[in-house]
Amino acid sequence: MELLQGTLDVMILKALEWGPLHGYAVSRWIKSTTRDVLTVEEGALYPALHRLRRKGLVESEWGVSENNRRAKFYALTPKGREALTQEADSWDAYARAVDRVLKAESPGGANG
Amino acid sequence: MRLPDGFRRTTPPELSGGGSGVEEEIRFHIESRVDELVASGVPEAEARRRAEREFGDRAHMVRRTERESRGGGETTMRVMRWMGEAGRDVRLAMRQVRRNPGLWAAAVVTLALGVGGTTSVYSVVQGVLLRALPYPDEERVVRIWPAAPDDVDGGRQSWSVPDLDDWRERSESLAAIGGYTASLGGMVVPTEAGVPEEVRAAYVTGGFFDALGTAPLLGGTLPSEAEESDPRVVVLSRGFWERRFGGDPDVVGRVLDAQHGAYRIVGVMPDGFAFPDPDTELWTFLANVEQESVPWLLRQVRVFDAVARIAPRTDAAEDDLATAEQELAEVARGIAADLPETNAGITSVELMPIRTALVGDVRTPLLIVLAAVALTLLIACANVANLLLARGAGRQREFAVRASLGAGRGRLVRQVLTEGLLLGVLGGVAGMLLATVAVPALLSRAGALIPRSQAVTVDAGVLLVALAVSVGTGCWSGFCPRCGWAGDRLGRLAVAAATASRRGDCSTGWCSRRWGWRSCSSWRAGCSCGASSSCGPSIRASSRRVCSWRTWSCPVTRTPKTTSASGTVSWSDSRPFPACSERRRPRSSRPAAWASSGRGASGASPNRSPARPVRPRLSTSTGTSSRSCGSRSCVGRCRVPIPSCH
Repeated sequence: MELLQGTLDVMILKALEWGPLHGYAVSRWIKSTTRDVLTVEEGALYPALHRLRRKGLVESEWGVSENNRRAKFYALTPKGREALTQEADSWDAYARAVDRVLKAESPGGANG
Repeated sequence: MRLPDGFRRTTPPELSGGGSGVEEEIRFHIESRVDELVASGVPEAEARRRAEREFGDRAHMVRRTERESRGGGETTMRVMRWMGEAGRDVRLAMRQVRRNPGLWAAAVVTLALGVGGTTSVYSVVQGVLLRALPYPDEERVVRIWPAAPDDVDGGRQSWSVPDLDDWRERSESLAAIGGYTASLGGMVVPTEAGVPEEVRAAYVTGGFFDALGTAPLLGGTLPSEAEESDPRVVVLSRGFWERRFGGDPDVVGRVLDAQHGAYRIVGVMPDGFAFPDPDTELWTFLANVEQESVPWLLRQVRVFDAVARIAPRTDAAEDDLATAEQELAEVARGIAADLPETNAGITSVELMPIRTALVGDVRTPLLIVLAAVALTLLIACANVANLLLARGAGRQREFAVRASLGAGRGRLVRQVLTEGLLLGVLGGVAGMLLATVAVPALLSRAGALIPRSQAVTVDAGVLLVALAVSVGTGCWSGFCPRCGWAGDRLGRLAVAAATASRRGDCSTGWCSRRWGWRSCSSWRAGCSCGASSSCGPSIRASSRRVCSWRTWSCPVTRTPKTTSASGTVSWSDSRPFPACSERRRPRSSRPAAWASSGRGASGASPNRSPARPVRPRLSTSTGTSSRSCGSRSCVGRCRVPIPSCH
């Protein structure tokens, strides 16, 4: 399933909610959490990460990874945490609204 | 930032010379994926391939990420894209030039002639009429003549020096008045090598420089009262100062050795000060002229001209001039009463603002010439637009293809504008070169007839005007023939062009009857006709052109098979979208047979009769038009079956 425009950013923010991760770990997390339903072109992750950094939603630092390689780690900033809460709420409202529409039984709604 | 357990900080690759950080970051991603796949039993080569595939276009992603990380990604991208497109437009336009060198050469030469002519004449007009005179408050500086209205030959007289003195003493409205003559011959000044050179000199009375009011470049001017100072002083023009004294800044106080004695130099006048003649280079007192050669102390020797400065009384210079004229006439009558034997006839004065006196004679002719060349420029525009239009028929398909490949309206307009711009710049540069050659040639032939011609230069302002004119012209001529297309719906354009090419019929244009095109055509017709009648070429040529335009606006896409006298045509079945062509026609103009059916275009019977009322326009068009339309199919403004057609 193709990713909806703009949802990658919020998924990245969510991935970083529990602590700093490098790009590859973010990508693994998204893949495993969505159980391979969403196809994310992995490369597209990096422009998004750098865009978020520029907006001040995440910060980055170089470190050494578990397999002893140099990797860049990303972490949420307070601003990013706030943005995540907001996005999650609005996504929730949106999804529920669409869900209601799709599950409606007749055009008449409550009257029918 | 606190890294997860088991991780530690390290130096960023940007700082440790490891190249771009983004590249390393992405390399880490891929290596990690390879490790993971290898660990799960995939051979390394296969693992690497799969990792790369999953990642996507690596180089592209590196570029995108770097752009995002630099910031301003969207704006930068937009600007870059815009510039890239502009560059492509220019290259495309250059390719057009290479493909049609003859056409472009004709267009550029036409524009260059128009622009060059206009620029040349405008530079003369600017120098002569528009550039300020070097006299401060020039509205109050006047040429002044004593007048004898009862005289047989109109009454304008010259001055004698005693007359000037009387007027100055008795009048209150003159701030200064100075007499001068430039007709006593030059002053002979030997050069340093001893060769005598005659230099144009003006002999003036005190008050001459006060009347003109120009501030000297160096030193001072001649004092107001020659009697109270040493009369043997001279003022130099800037040209003479530079030529003879090498622009010596300490020239004031030095001595100029002339044939009839030495003169002390008191000042140097600035550039542009050339009065009374353009080539006057020295000014000295009239007192230096011997009474034996010109008895200028006699009241009857009326051989001098005069300039005066009117004293400012109100804000309006014209009012001051009128008041002064009345007051001076009274002074004249007073003097005439006192000196009946010499001044009896002189009962008034005539004043003329200095600008009118200098350029009054050439003002109207110059403006007429300017109007003529401007008209020539308009004709040049019209001709260039015609040239481009003639080619336009062949280019619609190109535009339609570009439109159907996704070029937006703005993009097409920009392409056309770029071509116009290129044409304008080429024509403008050629025109400017022409002007720089033409202006000196013009002045060398007619300089003597044009006052202030020394003030005429092809300066940056003039060239800027020329460039603006030509670029405007280029854009306009490039754009106008296509304003009908650009305003059209591109979808229709594409569909119709595809239809036309499927039919093997691309003979005619989308020169629709839109207001843009129509107004351009009629405007150009008017311009050409007007220009033809005023500037020479026969009107017949231009009226033929009008007829040929009519051919282009042939309105339907259909192939008539037979035309009967009653004005009906049978149509071949291949005509596309017949219903649409009727959409725009007012109901009242439909033939009776049509109206009686009581149905609109969409209600036509499914088994269409082969005989169908024809649009009156086809059968009543002009000779030229029907000849060209009757013999071939015309793709005009047929509406393709978009829902809005019905």
